[in-house]
Amino acid sequence: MKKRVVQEAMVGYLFAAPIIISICIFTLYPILSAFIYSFTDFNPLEIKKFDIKFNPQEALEINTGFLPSELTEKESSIDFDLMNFIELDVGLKLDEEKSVLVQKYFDSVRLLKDFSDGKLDKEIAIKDFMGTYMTKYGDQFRKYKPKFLWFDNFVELLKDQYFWISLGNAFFFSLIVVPIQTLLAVILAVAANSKIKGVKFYKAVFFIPSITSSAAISMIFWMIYSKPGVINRLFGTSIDWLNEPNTALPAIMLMNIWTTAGYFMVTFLAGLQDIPDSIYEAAEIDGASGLTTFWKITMPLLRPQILFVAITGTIGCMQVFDQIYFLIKNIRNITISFFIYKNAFEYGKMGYASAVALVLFLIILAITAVQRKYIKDEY
Amino acid sequence: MIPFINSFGGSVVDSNMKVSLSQPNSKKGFQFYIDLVTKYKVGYESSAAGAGWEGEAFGKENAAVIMSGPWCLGFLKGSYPNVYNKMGIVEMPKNVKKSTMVYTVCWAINRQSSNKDAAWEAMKFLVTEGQQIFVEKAGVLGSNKNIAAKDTDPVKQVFYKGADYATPWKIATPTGLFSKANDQINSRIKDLFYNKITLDEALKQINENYDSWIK
Repeated sequence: MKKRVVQEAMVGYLFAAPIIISICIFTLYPILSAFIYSFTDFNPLEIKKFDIKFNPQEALEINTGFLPSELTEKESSIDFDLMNFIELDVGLKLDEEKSVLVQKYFDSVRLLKDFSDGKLDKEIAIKDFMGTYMTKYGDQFRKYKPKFLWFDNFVELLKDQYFWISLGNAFFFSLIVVPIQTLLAVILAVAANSKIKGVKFYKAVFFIPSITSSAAISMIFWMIYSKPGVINRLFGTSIDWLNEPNTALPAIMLMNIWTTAGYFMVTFLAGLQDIPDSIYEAAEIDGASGLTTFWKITMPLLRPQILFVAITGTIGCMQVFDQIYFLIKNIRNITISFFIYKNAFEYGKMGYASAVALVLFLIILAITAVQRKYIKDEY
Repeated sequence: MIPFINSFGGSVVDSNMKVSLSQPNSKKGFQFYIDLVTKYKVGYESSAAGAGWEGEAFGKENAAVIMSGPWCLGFLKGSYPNVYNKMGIVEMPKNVKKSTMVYTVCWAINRQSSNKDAAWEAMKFLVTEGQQIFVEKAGVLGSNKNIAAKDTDPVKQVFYKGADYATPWKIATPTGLFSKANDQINSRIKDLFYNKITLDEALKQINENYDSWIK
């Protein structure tokens, strides 16, 4: 009997294996490594730096200006600058710690001897080269290890003006967008749920923005918001909405509300199906007006859906990236996830970016925990 | 902005790679550049003309004068031939000295390349006949003197003249990094365009933080 249970469990896990494995590789592993990187100065461009192959003889020829055969006679007079050789001709960038090690333990006498004996004319990986000529600590040059900084990254971000600006922007964005998009989604859902002609057409129209590529939407809104664009013509204004520092973010918010409201409408449509008609009938008999029914019956009964939309909406808003990436040029108006992107991929500070990402994760976790508490009270 | 600063006899960084935007001459150039937008109201960002970049704004005839390079020529010729036929090109106006920018590019062989000899052959082609094709078809300036001498296209002569005194588009920093400083300074320029801060405040912020931006 017990054997069968185990066997059944095994089969179950086997069926679930693809998703378990892919979650481990593509979700858990990146989260874990980002967590570790956030305490380091990790720079992905340096991962392979010890694996690069080079020809020591050529490098030495360039550095000293001598061929191996010439060196034998002039060995005493040669002025060999070791650090210059390592950094420029071998092409290995060293931090302070490693520079000290190289200065202390690198056997340049042996290197020059092998050079004049002509033993060096073959490609060799930097790690093997350093392993051969370091009298001690050669293992320090085998593999790229980011430096462990403890909490330096976190201290730095507390002092980083643009961390606070972008975080503030993300909060501002969420505070405005989440309530409006939720309310708008409810209204759209109620409208789409009514029995008017062509309701299917309207449902499709409301939903289309959320399945359109945000690059395409951004391009269209870029034109709408530009100075000769539709909005300025309609209202007779002449504001460059996306470049004016005070209007750039609100302009993106409006666009974000428009794209996401239709998506969340679907959630509310499903919720509306669950509200029994009898309640509405009772309200009608009691003489409640349409508006009263909406506020006293529809909204309270949609509460679980509203909380769900509020949570997913907040997470989405705190992480808003693509529209900012396409449309915002001024770093004063960026949000936190674009700040992370800039640090990681433009400034080459992956460790710092990971630290910011970790902070963002903790903030979202805290917000979600608070919202979750509300849901528990309901059930 | 850099050509204006240079034209007033200033520079973005000095010979020790220290930021020098608040030197009197640099500041005058900086001020003039901002004034074009805020005081004289003759300068606009290309987005204000509903265009992605200045070449497009010019082609659509939404801008009377643009500051641009020869890469604009091929685009205008192809997309806006009418404008191309009636426009004229002049050197940058100068204050105390002539100034413009050149954007230089180069070919390089990766030291990890396993086909160095073939790459060398390709490179030999690219700097001779290949460059000729680029110069004739794409409107770039010939960096090879022989090819430049053969390039008699009249509209490009102004750019060749400019190359004599141009500054290469590259800000020297001790670390070789400039992208963060670039973002930060551009953000302040935008603030200045919209009168959010004064030039002195912007320069103070730049001077105080520049060293941390290039790390």
